[in-house]
Amino acid sequence: MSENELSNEVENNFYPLIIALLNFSVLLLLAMENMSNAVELWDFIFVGAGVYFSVKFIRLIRAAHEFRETRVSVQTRSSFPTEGVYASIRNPVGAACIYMNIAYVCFTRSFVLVPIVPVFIALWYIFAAYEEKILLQRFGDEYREYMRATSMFRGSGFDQQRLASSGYDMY
Amino acid sequence: MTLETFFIEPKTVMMLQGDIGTDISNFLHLLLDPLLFAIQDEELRRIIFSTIIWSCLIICGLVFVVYEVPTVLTLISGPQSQSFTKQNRETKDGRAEAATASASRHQLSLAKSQEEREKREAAVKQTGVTVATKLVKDRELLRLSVKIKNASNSHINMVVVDLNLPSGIDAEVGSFRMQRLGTINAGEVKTADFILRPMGGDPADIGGYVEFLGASYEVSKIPLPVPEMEGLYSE
Repeated sequence: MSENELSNEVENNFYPLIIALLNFSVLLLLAMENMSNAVELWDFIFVGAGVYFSVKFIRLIRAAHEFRETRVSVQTRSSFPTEGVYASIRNPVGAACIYMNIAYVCFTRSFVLVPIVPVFIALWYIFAAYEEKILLQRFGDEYREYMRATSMFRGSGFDQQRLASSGYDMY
Repeated sequence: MTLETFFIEPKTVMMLQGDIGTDISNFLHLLLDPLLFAIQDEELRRIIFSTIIWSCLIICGLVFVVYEVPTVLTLISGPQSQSFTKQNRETKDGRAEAATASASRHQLSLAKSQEEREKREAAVKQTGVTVATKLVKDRELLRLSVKIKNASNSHINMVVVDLNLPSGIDAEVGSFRMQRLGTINAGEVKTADFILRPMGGDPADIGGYVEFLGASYEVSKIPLPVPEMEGLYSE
């Protein structure tokens, strides 16, 4: 795809933004209300895990936005990226937001978030599945082949992907 | 290694060991005591926690906003006027330019896929591997033989035959849709047999591919040709 063609695409992928706003505004309010004040050993471990997931969030968001297609709606995308973070993860923005949800649980250290976060994770999953359905309709076998070699939210090593693509990991 | 290995008097050794131990302990105390003392303060721990947590949340929020700014701006200001006028302008023959753009994009995509197909075919030809399929009727079942000949000068590894079966044709119980043939040496021929159960589907629609790893570790994929039918359509 030419550079010119890419620059003609309108950045109109509003859905991740809307879902993220909904997701994190609810979580932020709940976190402000219910954040635990305890400072014991387990809290250190949980906060450490929260920092780890936050770093993962930043890394994935940054890597996803290296590609302009991330900001272009799937209905108008004229190609799909298969390099960089997209070489191993099909939906890095969704993955990043799921990690951030887990980070919120770790930071808040409260059971209040435990029933809420799976709802948002499901929302991100539904959105990713919806996008993939459209991409499959638009790009057909090309995208199906790409799907076989990658995972929706979790990346894996090159060898594993190649094996997955060749069917050698099936048994 | 202990100090005894240097043939020092045992008394001196004990004295030296004692001194080193005390020195290390003193040094660590100097270094860690203020930290341990500070960490024992619950209020300070709470402040540190709060700082880390809110810093992370704010930084993550800012990162998201920074990367989504172009989309947010488009959402606030609406689509760019240039593209709007572009969509409404009409060409000489009356077609909307947006439709023309869409058609040209479709054309581009077709040309691109055609180009990729040609590139793939050329790459497959270069590998020197040929695939032939034969479909034989065996009572109520079908036996599909996929014959792979490695006519190249080097061996091929991790050879996999994977079938794409149309609806109405299934793999028979005990027969898999995918078979691994391992390595095929130069000049060697290997065959993968599949037992299929037809249930109204058209055998001509059976597809699939042969995938393998070449000598230079590149993955090649050859689509299965339309099978040569034997004993079918003759009744």
